[in-house]
Amino acid sequence: MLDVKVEKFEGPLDLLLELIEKEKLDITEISLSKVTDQYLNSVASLDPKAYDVSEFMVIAARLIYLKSKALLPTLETEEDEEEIEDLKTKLEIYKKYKDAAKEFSNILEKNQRSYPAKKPQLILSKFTPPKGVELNDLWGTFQKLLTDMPEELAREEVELPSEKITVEEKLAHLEELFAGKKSHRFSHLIKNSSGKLEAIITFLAILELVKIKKITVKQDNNFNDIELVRVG
Amino acid sequence: MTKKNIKSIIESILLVAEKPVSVKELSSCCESMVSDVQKALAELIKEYEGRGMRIIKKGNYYSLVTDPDNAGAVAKFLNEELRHDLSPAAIETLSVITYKQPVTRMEIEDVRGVSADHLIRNLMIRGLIQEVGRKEAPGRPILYGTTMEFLQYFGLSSEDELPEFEMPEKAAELFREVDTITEKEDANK
Repeated sequence: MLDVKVEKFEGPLDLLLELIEKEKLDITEISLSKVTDQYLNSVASLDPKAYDVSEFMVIAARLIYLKSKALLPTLETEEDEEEIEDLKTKLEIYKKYKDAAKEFSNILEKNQRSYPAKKPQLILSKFTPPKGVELNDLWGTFQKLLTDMPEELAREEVELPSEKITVEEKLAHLEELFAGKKSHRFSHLIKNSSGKLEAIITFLAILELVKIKKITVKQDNNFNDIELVRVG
Repeated sequence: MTKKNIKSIIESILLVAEKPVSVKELSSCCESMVSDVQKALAELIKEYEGRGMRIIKKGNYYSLVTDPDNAGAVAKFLNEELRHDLSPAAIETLSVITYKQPVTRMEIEDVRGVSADHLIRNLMIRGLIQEVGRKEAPGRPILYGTTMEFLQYFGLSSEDELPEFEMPEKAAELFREVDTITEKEDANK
């Protein structure tokens, strides 16, 4: 089904501005903290398909800060003041451009457009067959070309691993193995894997077992097979 | 060269030009002084008033285009759709670029608080904006500005006809600060 993006506003600043204007408030510190809850609610119900939600988070954080500051005025520091001023200014600037955009739309709605003069078209070089060449010759050559074309190479069929094994499942399986027999060879466990993916998962599960101290690892010499031994 | 000749040549060149023509190009083709060409252009623009075509101006560049009042008839003749199809987001981005040019992508995004990547790309494809240079800042980011086609699209004869735009005092102050900082940095280079 076609997924249609319906964007009610253009971004976090647009949303914030809309909320403030809906409440018929001016852009002030107080009005900003007043619309915090509405802003957060709107962000929570955003369609992640239509919006980059992370873009809304910076302003969400600032609003929450503003609100908490309104509740606990003693928190104030100089730096915070600047940040609030910054948000206010940003919103004011954004509103200016948004208003300008409205005027742009009005101009465009008038459908008054200028067109440039039509420039002389470049004359495309035409195909002129050499003398004596008939339609049938061209048709024959074209068909020959088609048959001479190398056939598409048959693609090798790749089998995708149908079953997925999780590390957790493998872990349980290994614990069972070690419950039955105290020691196992590393190479043996890896060789028993059905493919690369399972080998990797086996390896991860072994690392986990070592970490939680269920087994220990022994290797007599470099490049010798590694022996895995159950603890206790 | 006589004044009448200059005007006549300018008219002919603007008619065949594939893209906007600069005063400099005109003056070299007319073998005349830049100031004479500018005078001739100003007169031509006046003479075209009330006619089916007009000369529009962006910076030092000029184009000969149709009277925007005739857009309906021209669109019908060309079998073109006249209704604009710019999204609100695109128009908003365009307004930022118009009044802040030359402007970087980062600066546009800073105003709107959202990514402007694909909007800039679309406006470029539409020919409404173009790259106008690089900013002398870390990474030398691309600067964008509007085009002559932008004026055509809005049916304006020059940028003077754009809706007035005034920065809020605070914001203007802020920008001034930024400007002085960059100026200082430039001076230090």
